[in-house]
Amino acid sequence: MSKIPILKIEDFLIVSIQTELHDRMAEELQRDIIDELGTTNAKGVLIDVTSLDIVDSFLGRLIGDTANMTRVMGAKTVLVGLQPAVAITLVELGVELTGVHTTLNMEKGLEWLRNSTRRI
Amino acid sequence: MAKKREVKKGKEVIHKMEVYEKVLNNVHEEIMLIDRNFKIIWANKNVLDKYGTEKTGVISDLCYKVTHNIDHVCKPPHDICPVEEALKTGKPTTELHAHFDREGNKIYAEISAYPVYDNKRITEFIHISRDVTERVMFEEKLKEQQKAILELSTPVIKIWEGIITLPLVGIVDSTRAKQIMESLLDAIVKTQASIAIIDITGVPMVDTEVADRLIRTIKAASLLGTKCIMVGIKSDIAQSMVHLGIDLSGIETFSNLQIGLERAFSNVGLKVAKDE
Repeated sequence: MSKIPILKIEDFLIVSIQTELHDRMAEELQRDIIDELGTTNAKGVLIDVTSLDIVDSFLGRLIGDTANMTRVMGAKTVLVGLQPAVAITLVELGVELTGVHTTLNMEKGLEWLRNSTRRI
Repeated sequence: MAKKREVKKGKEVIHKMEVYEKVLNNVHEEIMLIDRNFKIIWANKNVLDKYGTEKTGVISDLCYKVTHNIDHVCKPPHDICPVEEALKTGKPTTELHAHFDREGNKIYAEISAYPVYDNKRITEFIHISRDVTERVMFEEKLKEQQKAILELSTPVIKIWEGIITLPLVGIVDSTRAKQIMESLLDAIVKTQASIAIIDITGVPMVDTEVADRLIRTIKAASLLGTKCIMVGIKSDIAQSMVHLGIDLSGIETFSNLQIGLERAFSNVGLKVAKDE
């Protein structure tokens, strides 16, 4: 099973999900992100879901959980590039993604991360 | 006496045959009788005129060879064979086929297959084809117009870099609400706008369903990373919304577009100032 790479740029971890995520893979990714956050002391996590066409309630919740975990560890999470169809599905499913900041693209996501981590 | 009766009976049979022929050959439909192996047993004049060659006609040819000029049974996705369907279900089946005439014009044919039973076993099929081109064209046009109207009813306008607005006019029902959601989200992704203003000045009535749809749209937009501002909430709508118990907390709302615009500008770091 292929692993989703976690890249560190400046103080941030960049995770770009390019394939369909199975539940096991998603759980593994969550663990990887948190582990990486612990070892690198990154200040923020950017998750790019531009190429993700399907997000179910499990994955939605998992993303929300990941954001909460990173918050507890003193880092910020931003979700970028959610597709309209995915957003509609999440709203219909009632997944709120509270605590997760979302932006339209990676550029804005990085900008938000820089601004929000500077204050700390 | 006996002979006379026979002659009379024969005449009756001939007369009956003539009537049948008259009926079958003067309708617009193309009628064929085909067996389980798609072989044509009998065809009316329309079929013979259209597909028959002088020498052999179409009798004992295969139906798909004659009407489609192909060497296999019609298959989805283009044309579903009604005979195969009827054979499967044992019930009369009607399918729509798209054909092309000799000049290359598209012709729509509605084809029905009626199974003929002999001792509870299907032995043959009556295969009736009628030209429904006009009807289908009309339906297609209607669908196109419906789509156009829907699109016209939800125009998304980019008013500034990073700001789009969606003026809603008229009654919003659930179909339109869905369309609104989709077109707004698509426009957000296309324009990469960070602020979207939904103007409901022209919406005469907001019930719980419409409000719920609008709130969902706003939530979905915020998942994309775009903030929505709802403007044009008139006093009566404000009253009815509160009476209905619609929860608009967490959504920025204003009474008119001007205030909303100012808010949007300040959100993207712009300010409207008078020229001095």
